[in-house]
Amino acid sequence: MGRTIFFIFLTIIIAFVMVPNMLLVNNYNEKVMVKNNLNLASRVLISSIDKRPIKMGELGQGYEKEVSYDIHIHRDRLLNQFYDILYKNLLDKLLYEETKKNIKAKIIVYNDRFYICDTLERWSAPYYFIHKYGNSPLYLNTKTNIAYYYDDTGIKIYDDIYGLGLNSEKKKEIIITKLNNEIAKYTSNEFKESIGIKIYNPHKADGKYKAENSYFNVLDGLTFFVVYVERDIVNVFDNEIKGLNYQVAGYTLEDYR
Amino acid sequence: MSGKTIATMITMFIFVLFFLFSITYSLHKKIELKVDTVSYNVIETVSTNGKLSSQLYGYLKDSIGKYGDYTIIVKLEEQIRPGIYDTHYDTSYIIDKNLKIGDKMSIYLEDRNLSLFGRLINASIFGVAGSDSLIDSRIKSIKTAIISKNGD
Repeated sequence: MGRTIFFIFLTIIIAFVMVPNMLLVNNYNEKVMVKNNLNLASRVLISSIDKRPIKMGELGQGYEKEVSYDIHIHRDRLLNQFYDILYKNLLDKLLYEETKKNIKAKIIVYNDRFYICDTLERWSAPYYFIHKYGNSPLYLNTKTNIAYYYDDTGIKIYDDIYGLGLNSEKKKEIIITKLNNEIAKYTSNEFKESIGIKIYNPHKADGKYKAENSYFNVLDGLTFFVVYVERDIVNVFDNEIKGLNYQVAGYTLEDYR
Repeated sequence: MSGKTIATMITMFIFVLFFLFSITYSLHKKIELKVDTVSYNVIETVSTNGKLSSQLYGYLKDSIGKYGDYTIIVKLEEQIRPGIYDTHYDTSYIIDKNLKIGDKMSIYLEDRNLSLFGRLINASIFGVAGSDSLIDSRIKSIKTAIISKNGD
């Protein structure tokens, strides 16, 4: 009897202490390494920029207008290089395929718009940072507080956002919400669960907000980032054990002109 | 009576072995992460500064040296034009060289010896399997980054 109890005790220690400990250590390592590898791979943004000559027509727009239109990113080259560097950081075909499969969205954020690439490597149409102004959309810009809209005759009107009923904090909140809403569509699973990315709004002074959000900012320049979602669900005696690994990794170029 | 004693001894042996596996595996994984993190920090600094300085290389050697006897291989792919690279492995050429945007650098680290976990798992396998079945569980890390700033 004593031996049986001792055997059961050992089995419990192995099953509930040692094995979970090994799994947790392994899971933590994987989490950090995935993040590091994605961070390094995202740096290819710099070598995917084509600096086109400034068009004379755009020069005529004036100070701080059309500020991002002379930047062009080779999106296919960006993806090729991203995957190339990612593979070089893994050097394991199976692991690479697994990691690639878990990257649910790749996003390029310009000053006035962003593009999302899905798991089938299809780029979306541009999503502009739009706020409704009267009956027409107001096009916002992350870099400046000058926005534009089209009047009834189709003429492009530039104005300061303060004159249009907005301020810098509200503008950034609109941009963050827009990004989150669109990315959520790409990361939702069969239960309609999706990821909300905590993008930092520098105008918010609340300490708790800063502590929770200060790790990621796409509002300071040209940004390329990826959303990694790994959901492992194991069924044990009708109980679901979830292994979740969510990562957002990227790279921002503040001075790219 | 002797059968029960032997059964208890086998149970104890398996438990102790599993306990050692668990502890040494955790240690092995922690060292693996430390090595990978050092390598990541170095390659990220190279990417940001555009140069693998002799101080940084010294830091890499010193930091890695704490965890074992490691082989360090540094590979530089200098971009001649988009898609065409000149590859160098000679550290005397690579260290303190000003790199350009688009160049790629890799750092490969490999422990020359097995960790405690590696020795333990191979020792236990050795009893029941041939030497061909030994597991290469040496700690390895590879990190590659593109240079994102021209070296000064």
